[in-house]
Amino acid sequence: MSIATWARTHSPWLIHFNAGACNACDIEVVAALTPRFDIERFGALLKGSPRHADVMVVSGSVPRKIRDRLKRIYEQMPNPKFVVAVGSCAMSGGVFQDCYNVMEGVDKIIPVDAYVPGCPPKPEAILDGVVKLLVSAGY
Amino acid sequence: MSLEEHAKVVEDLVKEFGDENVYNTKVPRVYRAFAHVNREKFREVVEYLKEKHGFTHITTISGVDMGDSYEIVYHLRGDGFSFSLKVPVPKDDPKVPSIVDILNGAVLYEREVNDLLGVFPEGHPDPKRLILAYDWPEDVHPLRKEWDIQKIRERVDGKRWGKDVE
Repeated sequence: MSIATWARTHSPWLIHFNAGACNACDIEVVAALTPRFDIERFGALLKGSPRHADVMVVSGSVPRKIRDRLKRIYEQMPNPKFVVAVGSCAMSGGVFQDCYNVMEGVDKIIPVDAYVPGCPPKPEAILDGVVKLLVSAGY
Repeated sequence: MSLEEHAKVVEDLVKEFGDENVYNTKVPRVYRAFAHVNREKFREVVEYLKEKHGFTHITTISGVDMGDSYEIVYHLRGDGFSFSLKVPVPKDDPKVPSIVDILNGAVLYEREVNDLLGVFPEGHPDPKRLILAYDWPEDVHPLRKEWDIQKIRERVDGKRWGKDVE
């Protein structure tokens, strides 16, 4: 493992993006950050700016109007960058499939590295998604 | 207030405008009433209800595609009493008179109906797009029955896509 990979995988800073989610996934993401589940033991920290973040945690079904914003926020993140799609909506549109205003999933807009299924997924599942992503990145 | 008093409000309205302009009235229970109103007399009916019976609040406006016509439903409310006025609109002339100058709260609802069902509010102070995406084509109204999801995607994105296609 190179020292760069070691440094990156031991401090994955997160940016949380709500792409039209109903807030259930967001609450579970916030719960995963709390001391009870403690995502910080992997070095993860929630950041306010995409320019400081390595991992983008996206929830929601991606409505047509938010498509360009999602792409723009993603492009503001420095390389190397990763995307975790949290919840059924972010994976495939979920119950909003076939709605005229929905793009049906984050991977239609930006590349996704890890999917976390569930409606909403448990905080443990989100942690597992992040850890699997880190392992695939060479943790 | 009792059911009789509420039924009296509806009777009074029919007496004022005649049963060719206000018809299919229904008072299913206390604090609830329905009526069909002709489009030509609609503004006067709303004004009358506001002045005489205190329906000063518009809860929402909903639009229905009935197949051979549209129906715009105005949900008025005054003193806990909900009164839904249904206005039939022919498909070849999809317009309704705006009631923004009578009930100010209608300003956003009328724009929403114009976006989603394509029924234009005539006399609206600012009838621009409200909720559809900025690159959405002008002539696509997603709640009209002639548009299904694949037709919309073909028109908006240039191709059919989704779980039934791939």
